[in-house]
Amino acid sequence: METTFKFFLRITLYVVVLLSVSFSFQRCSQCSHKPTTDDDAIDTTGKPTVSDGTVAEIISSVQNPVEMSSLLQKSGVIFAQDLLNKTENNSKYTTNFKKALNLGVYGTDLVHMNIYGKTVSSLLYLKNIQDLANDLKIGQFFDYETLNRLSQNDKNTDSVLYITSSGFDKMSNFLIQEKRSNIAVLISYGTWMETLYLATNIEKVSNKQAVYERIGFQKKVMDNIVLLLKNYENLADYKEIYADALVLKKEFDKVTISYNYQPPTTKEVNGSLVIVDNSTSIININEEIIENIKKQVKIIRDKIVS
Amino acid sequence: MKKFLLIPIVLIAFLFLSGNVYSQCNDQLQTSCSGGIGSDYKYLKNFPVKLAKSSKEAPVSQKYQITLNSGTIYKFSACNAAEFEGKVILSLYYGMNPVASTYMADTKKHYPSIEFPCKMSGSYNLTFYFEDGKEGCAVGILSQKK
Repeated sequence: METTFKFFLRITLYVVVLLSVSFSFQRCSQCSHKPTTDDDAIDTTGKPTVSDGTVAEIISSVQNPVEMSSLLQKSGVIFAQDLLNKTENNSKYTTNFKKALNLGVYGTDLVHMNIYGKTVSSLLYLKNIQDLANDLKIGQFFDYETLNRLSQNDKNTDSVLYITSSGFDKMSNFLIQEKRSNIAVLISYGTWMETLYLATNIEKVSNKQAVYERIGFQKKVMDNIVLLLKNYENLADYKEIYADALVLKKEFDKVTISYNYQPPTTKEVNGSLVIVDNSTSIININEEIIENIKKQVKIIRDKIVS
Repeated sequence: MKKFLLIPIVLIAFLFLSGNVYSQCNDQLQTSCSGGIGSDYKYLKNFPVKLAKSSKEAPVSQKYQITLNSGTIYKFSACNAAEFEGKVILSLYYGMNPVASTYMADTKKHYPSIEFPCKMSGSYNLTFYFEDGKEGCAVGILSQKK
């Protein structure tokens, strides 16, 4: 009986040790997610006026670059490698500010290449994204190994797009949770600016109007971008991009969008709910406005990737 | 003897099982929900939702702003984490105007997804709450038809 009791005590001791080690690992993993850099935490240096909850609510209005690149491809825009940010530029980005912006830029380029079936050529972009994400302590959300394997074959485009997009979503959610919203905002801004840069640099296209309207519609996103950037305008690095964004906003303000909301109707099709949208919108934008937006986008984008 | 062995085994099992349940409310849930959008849709965004118990009459909600393009067919999917009782209700609004919901109040029926062929480009609000204000964890997925 005494031997059995000792055995029980020993087993219990093992369990207690196992539990302690397990909890230590949990704590340790939480610690490892904390920002370790000094230029990405804004709570001590700036006074954000928009809460993290509101940032999370607004930042989702920046569209996935899949939408614009798909439209460009469907509209007959020819793929132009020289429009993308050069992979060798990555070594220039030494601050977290530049790293975050260009993580968004390279992410958009990766998506764009995959939409155009250039999956195999995108391997260097994958590497840059992994390096930038690791430097920003969010590399755990970018599944480089799987993406690298899938990118060896042009037929894996859908999987590559899904893993890339969901990885960026996870990064953004995590950054906001960890009170590093400013980094999440910079990544989104880089993503959005690169999308605009690709969309405003189209040449011989049969259906330009659809692309122009999509660019004009970015007026709604522009308003939110300005709101997000204003949050950090007191920080040195952010002052310039906020000022530049305001200049771009002035051009977008010339776009007019009219709405005609009508209550939708619903119907059930094979057990699924389908909404019949009875509303319409008209976006008014002309060549002159497009040209001015294009010029300002180029100025901002050149600063980001330099 | 067997009884003594059972206690630590149960404790160890609890430790690992509780870890799995926790992770299901996060990445696993998003991955499995995204897997259900169908091969004719492209994933665009996910919207994590985690809400504590609130009042039945006025349940607390979580909001996201999204921008939708005219001429695109979108699909909104919603999935609940298994370990919570709360059933998520996803609703789409244009301003204060209701556009779509995964819950039809008149039939009291929940739909796992809704298809929305958008005809009005604009900023929309996506709202999530749990039926009867129950505690819950869920994810919403936005996808577009290829």
